[in-house]
Amino acid sequence: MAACEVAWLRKLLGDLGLHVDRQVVIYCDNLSSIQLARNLVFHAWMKHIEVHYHFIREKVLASEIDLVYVSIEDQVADIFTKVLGVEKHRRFCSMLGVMELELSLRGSVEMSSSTRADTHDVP
Amino acid sequence: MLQQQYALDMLSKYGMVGCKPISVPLDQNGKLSANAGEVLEDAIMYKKIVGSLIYMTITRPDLNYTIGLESLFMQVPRKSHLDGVRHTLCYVSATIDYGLFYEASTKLQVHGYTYADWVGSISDRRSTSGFMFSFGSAVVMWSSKK
Repeated sequence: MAACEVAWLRKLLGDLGLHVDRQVVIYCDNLSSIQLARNLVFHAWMKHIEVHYHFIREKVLASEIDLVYVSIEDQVADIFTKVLGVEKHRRFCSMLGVMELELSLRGSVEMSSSTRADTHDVP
Repeated sequence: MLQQQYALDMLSKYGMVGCKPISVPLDQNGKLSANAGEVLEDAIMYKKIVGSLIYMTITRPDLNYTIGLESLFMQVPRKSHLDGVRHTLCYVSATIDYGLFYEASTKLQVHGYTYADWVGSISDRRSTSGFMFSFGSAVVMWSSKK
């Protein structure tokens, strides 16, 4: 599902005049699905996977997407699937770019050092 | 980008200004289920509040999952669901000046994250999948889908 969105986002940014020439990195915490997307080898027990799931594999082969492993501790998308604890919720909020903003109509917004710390601090 | 004024108006409309500040949108331990507790008499009120909260998700991806979950009970809202929504309003009140910050100096790069909560729903055992894409310093698109 996310792979289709990459294709869409890439096209949209292209239309806006921002060409994404590099591979889009998608972080995933399921090692077996990463292996499956990278590797052409098929096992008999993978037969049940339907054709449209192979879409992402094609994208990986075409070097448009790179799947990278990320541990559950840094998996920001977790915030969209369950209710998290306080500490994790705060950390993921700042990784999402959701932070306290001071309302200023003139000039720029200064980031405080605490919120800046883990913005995109990904291994 | 932030919706501070909208949030203030919403909180005063539902009488939740100055409520106890809470740091997460929903209680982690008290899972909401479809048929626990008594049915609310005033279902319209519940629908109104959830409807107002849905508009908040435009600049608040951190509320996305919670409000998605609460909106599942719009058909037959129960007391526990209203408590959940109140909890969320308290969270909104505590984080009223939060918004998405797109920093000018960050390198413009697309990053994606994808995750699924396998059979996480307690009422029908369906999974929830979520993904997000960031461009520069903040997210540009996200989804939370059961």
